[in-house]
Amino acid sequence: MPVPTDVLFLSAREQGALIRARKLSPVELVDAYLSRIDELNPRTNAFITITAELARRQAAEAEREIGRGRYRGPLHGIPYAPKDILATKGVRTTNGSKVTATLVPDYESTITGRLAQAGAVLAGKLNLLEFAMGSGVVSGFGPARNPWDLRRTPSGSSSGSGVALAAAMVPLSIGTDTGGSIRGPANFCGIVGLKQTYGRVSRFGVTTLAWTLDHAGPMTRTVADAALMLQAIAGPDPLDASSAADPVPDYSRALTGDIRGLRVGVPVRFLADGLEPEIEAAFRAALVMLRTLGATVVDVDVPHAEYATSAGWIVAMAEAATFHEQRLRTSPELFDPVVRERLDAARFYSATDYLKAQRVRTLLMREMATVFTQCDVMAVPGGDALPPPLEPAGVAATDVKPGSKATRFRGGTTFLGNMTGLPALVLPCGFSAGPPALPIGLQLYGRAFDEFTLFRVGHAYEQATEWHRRRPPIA
Amino acid sequence: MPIEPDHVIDRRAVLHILAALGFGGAAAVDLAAQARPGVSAATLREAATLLDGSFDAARMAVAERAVQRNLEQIQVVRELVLDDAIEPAPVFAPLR
Repeated sequence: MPVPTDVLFLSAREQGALIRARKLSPVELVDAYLSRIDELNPRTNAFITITAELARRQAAEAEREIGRGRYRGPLHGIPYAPKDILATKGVRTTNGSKVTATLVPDYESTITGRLAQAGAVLAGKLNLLEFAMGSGVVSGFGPARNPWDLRRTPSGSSSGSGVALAAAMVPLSIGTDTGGSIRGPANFCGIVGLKQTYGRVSRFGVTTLAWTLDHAGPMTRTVADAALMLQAIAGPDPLDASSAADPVPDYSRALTGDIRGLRVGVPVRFLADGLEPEIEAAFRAALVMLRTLGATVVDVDVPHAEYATSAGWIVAMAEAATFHEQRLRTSPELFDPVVRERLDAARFYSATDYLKAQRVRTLLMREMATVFTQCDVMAVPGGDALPPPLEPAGVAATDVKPGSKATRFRGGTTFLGNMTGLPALVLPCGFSAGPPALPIGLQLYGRAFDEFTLFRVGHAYEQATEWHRRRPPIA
Repeated sequence: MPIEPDHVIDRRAVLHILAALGFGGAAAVDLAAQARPGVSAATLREAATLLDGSFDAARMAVAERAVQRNLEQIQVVRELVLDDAIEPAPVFAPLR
């Protein structure tokens, strides 16, 4: 029996409950998503690779196992698609680039391996900005398009993940975030994105952008689903020296809806300049809602927050230029022009610039440690602008545009999380008046390894609002 | 005192003036950076030889514009005065 479209918009948690109760067939569920991908991908360009045959095989296996009473857990039989920068054994992994367009890894990333162990079904690989830092327009596979308005950018670099979730082409995804690449698309596409603490999730098999800033984490349509995904992928990994041994709590216990007594810090300087009025209004309304739910809102300060992006950009590009050194020598013509421009420019950075930027990280970590003596989570807007139109290819090919601001403003409110390694969750908190109505996001920062509290606050807010239930016009 | 055409403006003096005008922190450094003299293509070509000399003319032209723009940004970080006790974030750990 065909699966109704409404079921495709259910959270993975709800779908999992139906599968466990044998009211929903994993095979029929994946077939429904594959049909929807066929229908919507020509317009959204969210998928680079669709693994239909593999997905049907995995779904059939899940159905057989569950039928025999071997239920693995809430992700068993649930389709997902990672950003195409996670290595999948035997499945093409392009990194969104012509440089690696035909690469088929002979190994599996730890994240996709753990999701396979949990019984999740691989539906395909999702579009991205080249090597997680390109223009998203010129690079290998063309731009993914925002389902709220196909003329606009879904942000990046996990562009396909944001699009596929908003358009209900899959219920779960994995993105990566080096300066905001999970949280940007979550903000622009009206979905949930978590950049967890550095070290909480293994980076093994995730193509590097910058070793000390990279994170790979859940992108979902609800906070509860982000908690489910993190539960499945978190924990130490001998294949990643940066993965942490810290115990992984039971995140489902955070989903109580009760945030009475929690303190929400608001750094006033984030709101000082350049915020669009509709974003500021939505953010302030979200703070009112958090107060209504029983939280206390307090002022906090991160005195050097405005340096996070400048210093972060130096670290990111210096590490990226080092990582791609050989490819830049042998096949520079295959790179997206803006990637090549950024990496070439980074080769002129000095060692003292890089180390100074690393000292700024220490400063920011100390300042955030002080912040978290005064509050339990820190709230900032998900971004400082609404999704702009996709740039024409000629404009997207370079950062040096007439009148453009320098890199301090690239990354906005997000680079702070990568520079400190602290977890940050973005979730929808409103829409612009439009037309077109465009999503607005709320971002919550937490203490190191305290994703639990982020889930607690995010879920309570989500339960009290309806923003996450809205569907884009393409749906 | 009028500034002579060949007079080099001390960056810290500019920052002090901007601070007096109400522009502080990175915003002031940003403004001061815009007054920074440019890097010539010839200088950059010389620097590129220290790398590996693999840039062709077109690529060098793009890099020149990008480096010029990024220098303004790097200057923001360079101008930040840090306490001596602040060490770089990555920690060296010997393999066991």
